[in-house]
Amino acid sequence: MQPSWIILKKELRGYACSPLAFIFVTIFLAFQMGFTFILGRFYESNQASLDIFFSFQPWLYLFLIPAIGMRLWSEEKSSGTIETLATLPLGMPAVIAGKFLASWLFVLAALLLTFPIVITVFYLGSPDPGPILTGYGMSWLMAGAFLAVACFTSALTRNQVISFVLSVIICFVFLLLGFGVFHEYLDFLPAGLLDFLSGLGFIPHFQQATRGVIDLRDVIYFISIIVFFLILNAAVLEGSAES
Amino acid sequence: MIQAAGLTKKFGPITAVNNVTFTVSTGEVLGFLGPNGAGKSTTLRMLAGYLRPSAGTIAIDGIDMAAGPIAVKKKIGYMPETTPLYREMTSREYLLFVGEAHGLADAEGRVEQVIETANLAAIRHQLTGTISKGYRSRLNFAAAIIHDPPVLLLDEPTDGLDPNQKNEIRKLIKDLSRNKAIIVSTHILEEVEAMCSRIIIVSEGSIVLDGTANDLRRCVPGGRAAVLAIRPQDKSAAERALGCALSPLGAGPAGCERFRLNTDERPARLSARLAEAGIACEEACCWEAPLDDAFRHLTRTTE
Repeated sequence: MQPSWIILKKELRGYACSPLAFIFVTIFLAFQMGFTFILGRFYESNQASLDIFFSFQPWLYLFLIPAIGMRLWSEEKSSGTIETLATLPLGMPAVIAGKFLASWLFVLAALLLTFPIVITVFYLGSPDPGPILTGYGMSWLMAGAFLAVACFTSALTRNQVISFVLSVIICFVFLLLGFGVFHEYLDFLPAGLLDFLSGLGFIPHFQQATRGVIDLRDVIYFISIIVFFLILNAAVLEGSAES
Repeated sequence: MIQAAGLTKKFGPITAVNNVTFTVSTGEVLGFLGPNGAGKSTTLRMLAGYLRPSAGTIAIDGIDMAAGPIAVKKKIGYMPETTPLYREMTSREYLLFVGEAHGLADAEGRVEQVIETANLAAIRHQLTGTISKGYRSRLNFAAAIIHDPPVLLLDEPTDGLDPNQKNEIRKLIKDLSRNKAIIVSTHILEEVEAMCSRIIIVSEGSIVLDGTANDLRRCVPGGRAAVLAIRPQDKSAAERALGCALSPLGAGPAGCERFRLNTDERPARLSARLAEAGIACEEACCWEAPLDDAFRHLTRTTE
C-alpha cells in the first residue's frame, strides 16, 4: 500500500468518526445557503444561475477552511503523534500529501452536499450547466489553495488557535490582492510589481470559472499556490527535525 | 547492528548530546541511563530518525540514516517516552495503521499476534484516548514490535505499569533480545540488572560509563566488598593475613563479628587464606553497593 494512501485512509477515517467534521459540514451548508438565499437574495435576482452562490464562497472559505486545516499538524505536535509519524517508514512528503488530500476530499464532500441548490436552479429555470460545472471545479481548486495555506500555518505551531488566526490572515491578504485594494497604499512600488501582486489574488482567478470559462492559467495558478504552501509545510517540518 | 558515532545534538546554545559514540550488537540489551535532562531521549530520538543530529552519524544494520532514512526506519521499532496515540482510533485500528505503515503483507494477522503478546485483548476495541497509562505503554510497545524489527529502541517502556506488568514486559524484552539489538532507556536501576547485558550512563549529554552493572558498582569507592565473620580477637591477625583493613559491621553468627573489607577477591578465596593462617571464618560473602548509590555517585561527580 502506498504511504500516502495509508495516511489518506487514516485521516478520512478520522473525519468519518469525528463529530467536529459533521458540525463543520452543517455550518458550511447552513452559511452557504444562508448567504445565497438571504444575503444574496437568490429568488429576487430572478436568474437561473449559481453566480450568487459562488460569489460568497471565497469569504466562507476564509473562515471555514482554516478551521479544517488548523488541526492537521498542530494536533500531531501537541499530542506527540508527530514523533510516531516521523519515525514510521513513510517519508514526510507522502505524509504531507496524504493529509492534504484527505482534507481536500473532505472539502469536496462538503461542497458536493450543496447539490440541492443545483437541483433548485434546474427546477426553477434552464441554467447553462457549463458555468455550474466549471464553478464547482474551480471552487474546489480554490479551496485547495486555502487548505494548503492552513496546512502550512498548522505546521508552524502546536496551538490550533494560532494556526487558525495566521491562516485567516494569509488567506485574507490573498483575497484582498484580487481587489487591488493595496494599490493605493503600495503605490511606491514599481507598477510591474503591483500588477504581479494583484495577479496573486484568489478571486479574479476563481470568477472566470464561474462564468463558464476555464483558463488553464487559473488552474495552474491554484495548483502552484497549493504546491508552494505544501513545500513550505515540508520545509517547516524539516526544520522541526533540526530543532 | 546499531552504530552511533560522534552523535551531537544542539538546541540553540544548549548541547543536549555531546559526541556520543557506541555500538550495540544483536543479542545485546543496552540499558541507557542518566538523570533527567541528560540527553537519553534526545539520543533515542536521533537513533529513531525523529531528530536530525547536529553532528555525527547513525548506521543501523550497516545502512546510514542520512542516506537511507526509510530503509533504516523499517528496521527500527521505536517506543517514545510520551506514549503518543491517535485518540480517535481504537487500539486495534492503531496497530493496524502502524502495521500497514511498515508495509506488512499480513498486517491483520500480526495485529492479532501482538495483541496477544502484549496482553491487549481487553482494550482491542476501545478508543486509545480512553485507555489507562499502563495500557498506553503496552500499546506503544506492541506497535514497536509489530513488524518484528531487528532493532528496538524503548524509551522508558515500563513507565506506568504495575509490578506484574513490569515483569511481563521485562521478560518479553529478554526473550526478544535473542535476535535483536535493544536499547532501553530507564530510570529504574533494578530493571537494568533484570534485563540489560550492558549499561551506558549519560550525564550532561556525554557518556560517563559504558560497561556492566558491576563496572558501575566499581565506580563507587568500596562499591564491591567482602563480608567476613570472624572472632573479634582474630581481627589483627586477619588484617595481617589479608593485607588490608577490616571495618566492623556488627554482631555475626556464633559469637563472631562481621567485618567488611574492600576487595574484588572472591569470598571463598579470602576464607581459604584465613584458614591457612589458622583463623576460623564462620561466614564469607560478597557485598555490593546498591546500583542507586553507584549511579548517584557517578552522575553527581560529573555535575
